[in-house]
Amino acid sequence: MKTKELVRSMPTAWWLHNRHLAKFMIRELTSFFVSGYAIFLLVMIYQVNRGGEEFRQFYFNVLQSGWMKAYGWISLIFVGFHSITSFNAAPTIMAPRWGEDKIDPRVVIAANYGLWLIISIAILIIVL
Amino acid sequence: MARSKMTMPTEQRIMTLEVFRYLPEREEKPRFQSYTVPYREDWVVLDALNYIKDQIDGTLSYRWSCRMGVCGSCGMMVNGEPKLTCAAFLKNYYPNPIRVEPLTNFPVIRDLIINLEDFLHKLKELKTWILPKEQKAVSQGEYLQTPEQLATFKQFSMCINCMLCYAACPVYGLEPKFLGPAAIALAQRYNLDSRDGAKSERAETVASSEGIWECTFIGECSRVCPKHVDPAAAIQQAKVINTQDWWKSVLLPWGKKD
Repeated sequence: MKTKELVRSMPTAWWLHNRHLAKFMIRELTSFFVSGYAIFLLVMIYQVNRGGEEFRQFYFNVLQSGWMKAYGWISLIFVGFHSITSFNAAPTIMAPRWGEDKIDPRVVIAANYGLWLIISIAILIIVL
Repeated sequence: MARSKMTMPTEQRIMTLEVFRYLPEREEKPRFQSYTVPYREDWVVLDALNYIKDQIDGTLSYRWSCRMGVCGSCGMMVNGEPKLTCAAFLKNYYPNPIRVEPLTNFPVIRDLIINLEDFLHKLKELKTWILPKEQKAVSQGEYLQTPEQLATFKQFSMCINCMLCYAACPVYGLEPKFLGPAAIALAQRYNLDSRDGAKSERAETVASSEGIWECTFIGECSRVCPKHVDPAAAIQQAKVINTQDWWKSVLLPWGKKD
């Protein structure tokens, strides 16, 4: 005789069960700021392209405004958190080997940070 | 030189276990039942459960076998964390009570026993066994493999099918169709095995929306795995390989398939 199995539902606040899950959800939410900043950069490129008076107005009315500066600082924190957690996860995704041995995960992480630094310096040189 | 044992106090130390009970033939709803067990430094939660069944309440039902962390039978939730009860020492919780429940995300048949048919079905779906690249008669000798070839998949072969990763995975909890960490890690184990030739047979299931692409890389599976299989790594690496294979099929459609 088959008895009735108990099916337990998942609680809505499952992501508060432990700090690892909470950190995961925070990381997922930071994706909004990453994509938001990407959209902002596209708007910047469009405004720069307009040139002259239009860009001056955009610069003083929008970019110099208090809320824009606040958004910039908040984005920097969240995008930074997102980037750091992504780089730290890199050895899980890429697991290069040297013969039988796995390459030290710290080397993979360092390579990611190194590339980030090089690209950032290159962009700064171009922009400045 | 023998270690001197701590002197036991004259009154015996005890611990409380709050155990999930579900007796479908007698009771509509589950409940928790408290048991008091002796505390011993070298006891694990499984020892406490065996004490309960032997000395206090013979109706308590649960699975266990090897009691040394290799069979995967005794997985349960211990204070909300998926653990092998043969590897969860009482001394790590003493003197606080321990709550023991069946693994989450699985239907409960009775007490601490879960229905694991879904997992077994997924193992079959993913063909988690060797399908040799080349068929050899026994007289032709062994399928040879270098240490480097073994090293590429050895970690993923350590899985003992304990299903702690499924209990820890919120994606599996929210979407039961998800193939899950252990099944995908085992599929990856065989895909990476140089003797195996069934990667393309497994590909459709592995790369389905219920396969690797359902995973959002939470990482809880790897955190709770008692054998350090790192199923999250297996899934992410499978995503990279699957993407590469897709690009190859688009850009080099005439190319040789694995």
